[in-house]
Amino acid sequence: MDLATLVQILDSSLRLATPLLFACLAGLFSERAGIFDIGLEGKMLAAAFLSAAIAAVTGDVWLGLGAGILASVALALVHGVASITFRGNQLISGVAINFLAAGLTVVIAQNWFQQGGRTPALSGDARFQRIDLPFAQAVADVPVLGQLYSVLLSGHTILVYVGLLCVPLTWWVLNRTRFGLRLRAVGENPAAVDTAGVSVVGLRFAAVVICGVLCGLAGAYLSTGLSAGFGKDMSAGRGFIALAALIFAKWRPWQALGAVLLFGFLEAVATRFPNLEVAGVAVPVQLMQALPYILTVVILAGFVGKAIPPRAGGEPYVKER
Amino acid sequence: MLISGALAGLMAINNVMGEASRLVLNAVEGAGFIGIAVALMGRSHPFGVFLAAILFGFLYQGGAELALWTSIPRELIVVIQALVILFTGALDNMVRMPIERLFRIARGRG
Repeated sequence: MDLATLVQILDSSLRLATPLLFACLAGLFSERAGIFDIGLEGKMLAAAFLSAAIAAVTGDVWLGLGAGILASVALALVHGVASITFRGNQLISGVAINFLAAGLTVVIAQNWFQQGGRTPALSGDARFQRIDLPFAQAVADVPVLGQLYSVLLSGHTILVYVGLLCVPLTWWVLNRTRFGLRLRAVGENPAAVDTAGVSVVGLRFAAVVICGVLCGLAGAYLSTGLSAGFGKDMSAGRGFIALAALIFAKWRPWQALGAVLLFGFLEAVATRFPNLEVAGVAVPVQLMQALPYILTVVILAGFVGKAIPPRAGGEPYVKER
Repeated sequence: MLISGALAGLMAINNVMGEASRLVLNAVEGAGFIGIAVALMGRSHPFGVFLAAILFGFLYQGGAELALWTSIPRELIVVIQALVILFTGALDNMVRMPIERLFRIARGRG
């Protein structure tokens, strides 16, 4: 394998890691506040559908992005109402949201566009265009560093850079602001936050809404950045991979970036070498496609060590009377 | 865990050796996921799980028939299943809380 191939693989792993990154950070905000969210998948799917649909109808990708975020936040609020206001089971609510999104998107898409549950293919302004960083062309001939800059860093859609910026932003919000301190406290010991006179319900709803916005970005990137248009079940388990990455990263933003890059790399390798030959024996395509998931199990079972979730996670807070 | 694995295996054997008599691609059709929902809906009680499973079986078969005889897409069943899970599983307190309050008021008067 030469350097160019390696850079290309890294490039596509960065692209594939971006939706995982958004979803992972979304889960991080929600779970650090004590709301377990296995509905990431459903929210991404809803956002992917609505952003592709609105972008296809209006031809403006930014309107699509806004609509996708709205769809995702709406589902997040359903999760919030069920698990915060009515103290329901957060896992059941998450499963319900996944089902709801998987069903509704296809039904609405079929009714709207009559294309078998897909949206029309997007083109031109209806998609996020790649952005070339300054001097990318000029330094492309410089060995190693120039290649890294012009192929790996430059030429992505804007959402990739937004995603990368979200990592330090998340770290700063969680660890350096008053809101972040309270958010983490509400996930560890909501009674203490309540005693201090801060609204547990308000904080948790804020976290759930942030989670919705980030999931909306993830979904919009899936359908308008990574591919051109929505297809049935296009999130393909990414919400669950993001949850796995979140556990792998032990609910911390920088480690989350590392974890999603690893999963993105595995996916990129699997798509780049569909029929790999190892020592003269052809590895079946299906095995290569299953590889990221197999390695997910191996990593989670073997290398994570002790991952301790936020202590109040999954439990509704009932104020003492 | 071992018993759980064995039961999951039984389910797949039913599909492969009973219904289709051969291994088809994606033979279990997402039954595992629906299974989670059924288990949660049955409140982890064997009889409750049985009732929930019957309900979802009805919905599934009904959806297949609908898709066959009308132009209603099959995914509508997924939506209905989702709403059933949402309102019975996650939002049950939405109904329970006002009713409890009613009863408390009634008892206060009586």
